[in-house]
Amino acid sequence: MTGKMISRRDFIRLASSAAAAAALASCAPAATPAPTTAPTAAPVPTKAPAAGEATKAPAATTAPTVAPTAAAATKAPAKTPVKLRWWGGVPEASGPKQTVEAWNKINPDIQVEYVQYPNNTEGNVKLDTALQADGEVDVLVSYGLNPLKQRADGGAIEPLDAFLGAFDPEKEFGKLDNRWDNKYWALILNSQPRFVYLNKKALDDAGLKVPTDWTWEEYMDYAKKLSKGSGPTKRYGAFYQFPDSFEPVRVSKGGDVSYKDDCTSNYEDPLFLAALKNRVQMQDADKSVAPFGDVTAAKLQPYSEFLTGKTAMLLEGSWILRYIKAVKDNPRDFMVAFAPMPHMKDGPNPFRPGVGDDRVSIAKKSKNKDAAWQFIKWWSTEGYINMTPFGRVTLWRGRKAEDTIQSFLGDFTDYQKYMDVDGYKTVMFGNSDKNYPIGFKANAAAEIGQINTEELSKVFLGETKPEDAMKNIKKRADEALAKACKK
Amino acid sequence: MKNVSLKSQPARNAAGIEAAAKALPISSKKGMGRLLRQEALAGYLLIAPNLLIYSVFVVIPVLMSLVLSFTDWNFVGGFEKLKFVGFENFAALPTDTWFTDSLRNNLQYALVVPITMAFGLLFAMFLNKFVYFRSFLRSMIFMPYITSSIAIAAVWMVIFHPSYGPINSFLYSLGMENPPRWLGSSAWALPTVMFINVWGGFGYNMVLYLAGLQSIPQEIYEAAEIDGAGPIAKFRFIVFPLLTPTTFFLLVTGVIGSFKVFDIINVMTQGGPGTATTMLAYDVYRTGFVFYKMGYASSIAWVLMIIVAIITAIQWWGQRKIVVEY
Repeated sequence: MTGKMISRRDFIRLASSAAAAAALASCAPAATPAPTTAPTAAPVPTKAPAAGEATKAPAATTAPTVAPTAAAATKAPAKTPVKLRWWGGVPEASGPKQTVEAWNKINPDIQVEYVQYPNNTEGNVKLDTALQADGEVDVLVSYGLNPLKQRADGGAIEPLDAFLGAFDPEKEFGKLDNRWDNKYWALILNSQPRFVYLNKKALDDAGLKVPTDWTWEEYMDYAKKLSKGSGPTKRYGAFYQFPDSFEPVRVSKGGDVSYKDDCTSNYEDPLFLAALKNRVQMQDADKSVAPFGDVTAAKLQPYSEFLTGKTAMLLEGSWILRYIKAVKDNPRDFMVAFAPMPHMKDGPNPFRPGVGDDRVSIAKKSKNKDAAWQFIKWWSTEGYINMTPFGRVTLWRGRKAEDTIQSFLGDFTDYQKYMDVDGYKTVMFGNSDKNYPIGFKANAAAEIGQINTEELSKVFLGETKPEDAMKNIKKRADEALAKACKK
Repeated sequence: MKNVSLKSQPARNAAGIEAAAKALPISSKKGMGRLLRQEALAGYLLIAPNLLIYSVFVVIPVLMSLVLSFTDWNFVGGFEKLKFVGFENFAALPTDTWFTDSLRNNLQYALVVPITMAFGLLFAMFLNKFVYFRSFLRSMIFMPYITSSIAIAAVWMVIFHPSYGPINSFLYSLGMENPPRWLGSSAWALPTVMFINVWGGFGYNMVLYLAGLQSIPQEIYEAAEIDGAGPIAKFRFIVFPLLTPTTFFLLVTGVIGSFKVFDIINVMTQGGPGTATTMLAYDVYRTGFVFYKMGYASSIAWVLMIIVAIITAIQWWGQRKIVVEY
């Protein structure tokens, strides 16, 4: 070694200090000047299992924070505005953006920013992880009773009772499954009735009238008559996306019909087997619905099947209206008519078919609970109209139907050509005095859902008989409930 | 003073380093010790970042999950909701359909490993002899191994589509009325997933076997030919025994990897239809993040780890008996 080269010792010292410096520099989180609570929470979520997804949240929201701080700065306020972080599953441009803008304008001292999380398993884990960090989430929306219950039972949600004052959720929204253990855990906002969308052109071709009151047998008959053709271009009469076949039982007997009591299931009731057999008949004998194997293999979506004419009837929730309105993106040449959900032979449905969803709650670790309540109260009553152009209708009994309809149809040009407005009004607002078939029990709900999916899939693939599947479901559901009840 | 040539080949073991250090023209013993200590310190500094990350993201979570496997915990509530339940989680495993079916599926799925190795060896022997387009063929066969498994899953789902996919369309055109419904059939779903993984993995095995084959000296083949060995005897007595180090390596890592399969299951079948393709790793995910039972999921994960450790230990013991090193 000559004097020109660095000696090996010095080189090693240099390299290791450079490596250490680089490692330390890359560890420091990106500095943000705004003194909000959000960036301080950034290092905390990395300990949780969903490390990769949690770190995306701060990056996604650095853009929105610019606007509110700029607005606040120009007003030269005496106090800095409170910042609320609102986590929801709806795409920002489909309502939340408009809601946030409307609120921020009238409430300069409480600024809201929206964080979207995809409403699937991974997205819900992202939200659950964020709930454990102080101040990361103020207002959250849960979709479905089970996620809400998991979060409430896990202690991540602040009960609303302390904030209610004179506001009575049952009077304003009806009796819903947001209250247990004598506490309100969420306000339920979205009224999502379920009904049948009909392809009017297909009906006319088959010589059938739009039904106003029909039974499940008549529904199956319509489906058979509306099925036309064969092979890849076949049009089916109806469409089922998921293996769950028990909706007819739930709308007739209530959402808790699958539970005999808290620790036993009720699947031996013959109504379940009858509903399953009907669906099997539609798939195998009548061939009026697409084979289940095809639906899952190609991940067929209900709205695309209906709008491209692959199915003549679609039994779904009101969320499809968003796609019916977007004629430019989903061009079609037929008018959409509406029919109520069929009922069993013994009489009309005592419940109003549908779900109440969009459960909005306050996070337990939020630092601005009062501000969060203000926002929730406004959003659930007057503010929800901002979501309506995108198909969401508020459950608030103080709403005016005409306002809602106008808001939805407002920017829908030529709607008379594309949908039957009277039918729409009937299915969306009819039966408002009846309650949804809410399921108040959610014991082992996730496990029972998985059990149903597994056993029912096997029936639709022709591997099990319906009677055996129901026996298996009963046995496995009882085992899962027994395990859950032991605690 | 000894005149040691610094250009000579450095020794590779500790004794050699000591001897070389002793031979350097450093007069004091203290100097030599200091040199070694400084080099050791530099070494530790260089591996410190990696070791730190490994401890935080692997070692500590693994120990935490051991503790969690004795608890019942819905993680949404934070640590206040942790409840110790002793061995209850482990006791519940044998009666849990999801666990027993996953274990059964994993054991069947482990057959992927010898099948992949067989294909890898076959193609390696073929490519070893076949001179034209060798590197092109080798790259082509290796390509699936480096492709994203999600992309592979998505494409094969289309190919195996029970009604409109190319495979069943072909079978329909041959006159078959009821071809198997592949991923939509309880009997065929697992073999289909196994096939896809064999297709994806044998390129890697082939490349390793090629390296192994090319390290067998020609003289051995010539000596065997002189003794009158035919191709089968050559394979049995030369090729296979001398490839046992590679075989053993592929067997151990392959079995460990087969017990960890998750991404293809999650994308293609989600464990279905029924419980035909549910695997232990997928069961851990579902129990922890869909059913929110973190404690129970940790116990499944630890049982999985113990199973893999036992299998690896058996293979390691077998290595001493079977592997030929020369």
